[in-house]
Amino acid sequence: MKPAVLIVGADKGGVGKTTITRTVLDYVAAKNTLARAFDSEFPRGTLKRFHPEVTEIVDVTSAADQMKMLDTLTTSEIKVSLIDIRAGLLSYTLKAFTDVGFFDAVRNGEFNFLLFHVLGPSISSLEEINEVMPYTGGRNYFAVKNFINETSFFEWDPAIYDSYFKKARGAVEINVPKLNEMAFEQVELAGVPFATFARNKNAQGHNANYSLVLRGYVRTWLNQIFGEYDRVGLLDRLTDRAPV
Amino acid sequence: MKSYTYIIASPHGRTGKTLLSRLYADYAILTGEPPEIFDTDAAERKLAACFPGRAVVVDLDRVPDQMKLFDTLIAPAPVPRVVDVMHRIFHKFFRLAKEIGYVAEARAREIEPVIVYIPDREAASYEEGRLLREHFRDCHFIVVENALLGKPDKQLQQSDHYKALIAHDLNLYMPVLDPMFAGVVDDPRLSLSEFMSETPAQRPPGELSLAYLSLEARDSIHGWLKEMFGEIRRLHEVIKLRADMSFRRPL
Repeated sequence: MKPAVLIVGADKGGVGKTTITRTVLDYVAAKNTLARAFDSEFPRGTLKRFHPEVTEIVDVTSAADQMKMLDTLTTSEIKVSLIDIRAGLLSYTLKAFTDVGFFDAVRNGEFNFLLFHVLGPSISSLEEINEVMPYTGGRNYFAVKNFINETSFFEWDPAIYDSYFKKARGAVEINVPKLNEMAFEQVELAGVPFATFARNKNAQGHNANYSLVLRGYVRTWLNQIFGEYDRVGLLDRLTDRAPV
Repeated sequence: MKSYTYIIASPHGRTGKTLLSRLYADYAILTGEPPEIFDTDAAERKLAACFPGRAVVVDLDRVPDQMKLFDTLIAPAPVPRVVDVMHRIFHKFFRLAKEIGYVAEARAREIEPVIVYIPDREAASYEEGRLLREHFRDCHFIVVENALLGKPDKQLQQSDHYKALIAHDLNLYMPVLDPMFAGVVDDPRLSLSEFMSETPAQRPPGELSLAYLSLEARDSIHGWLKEMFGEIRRLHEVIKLRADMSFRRPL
């Protein structure tokens, strides 16, 4: 299996990047696929709090940590790598990966590369599209419309939205619905993956006592997102089973 | 030991849901197992008015109330529970129950949910009932025939939905109560269990006394209640047997 790198990022903050990464980790685990993750929220590491066993905190601006992520792609037994890029560092990271020749290797077929560009409900999110699209070579670029933080999305003129997406040919849209706020808060407090919360387990794998209602909201929400990931063939793209 | 949660529901109003919920609750009191009672009609609170201080009112439009209801319903308890599902939240209640996996969670904790469904003369109520039964196949299901509502018309009786529901193997029959006394039974101040237990010596202030009623009236109400409680007991025994044997008949 060819190593695959999925970057989840946005230059804008507060659009739910880490939440999306957490759902991807839950998704690949549900599909019995091993994945490792890099949390670039250095040094705090929100992603690591929820997925400590598979997550390593990295400083994407440091050469040593870039090596940790990229030089291990071929040697690691785990072929799926997720990188959660903290706010403001997406463009920087993509440039840095270009400079070290990562995208040349992708073009040569050594690695698969996917980009989850998490869009917030503002035009500044859309302006990022032009910046980051070229890195995917028009393939495996996913515009993730995250409804987590807002009840409505792109309330302004849909024509503007369409005009940006016309430039992003080949872009695949993924819609992430809003999770009930109380449910989201309880998962935060529990500090466990969404899927673990839905299964009523704590971080140690013991039975927990979370609310049935809130677990139900999380399960339904996660199933909707998994449905979206299935629709776009995410697992096949990550595991090199799809024609890309 | 298993406990039972009776969910009284109908997609339409004025089908006798609250009266039947009240009867289920009073039956439990009579058998020495005072139940937990939930009234989902946060506006009118008719069931809660019959059991002041005992019934919990929940507004399922609010997530904290959804938690109050369903999280309690799956908490192990030695007492029965009665939930009166207001017709306006019929779909919301069952959609939520389905989405959160309520039945499986409850049964994993030795709690047997029982849906007590009351169709009326509308074709839609038979279709809804059939769908409800299909969606909750892992749940006990009782179809109620409320004689007061009358039989549906001939055309409806020929429909597949009607035939499917009417052929259901667990049926509860609600006989008609003499209209002259229906108002008495409807009065929330009257405790039906106390009326039947005939121990009204220390009647709390504000509770309705039936001393003014004629013997004939008291007999009529008594006879009707006896029949109703008999039906509830009969079906409870069947369900208990099935639950104890972990036996489910094909629906």
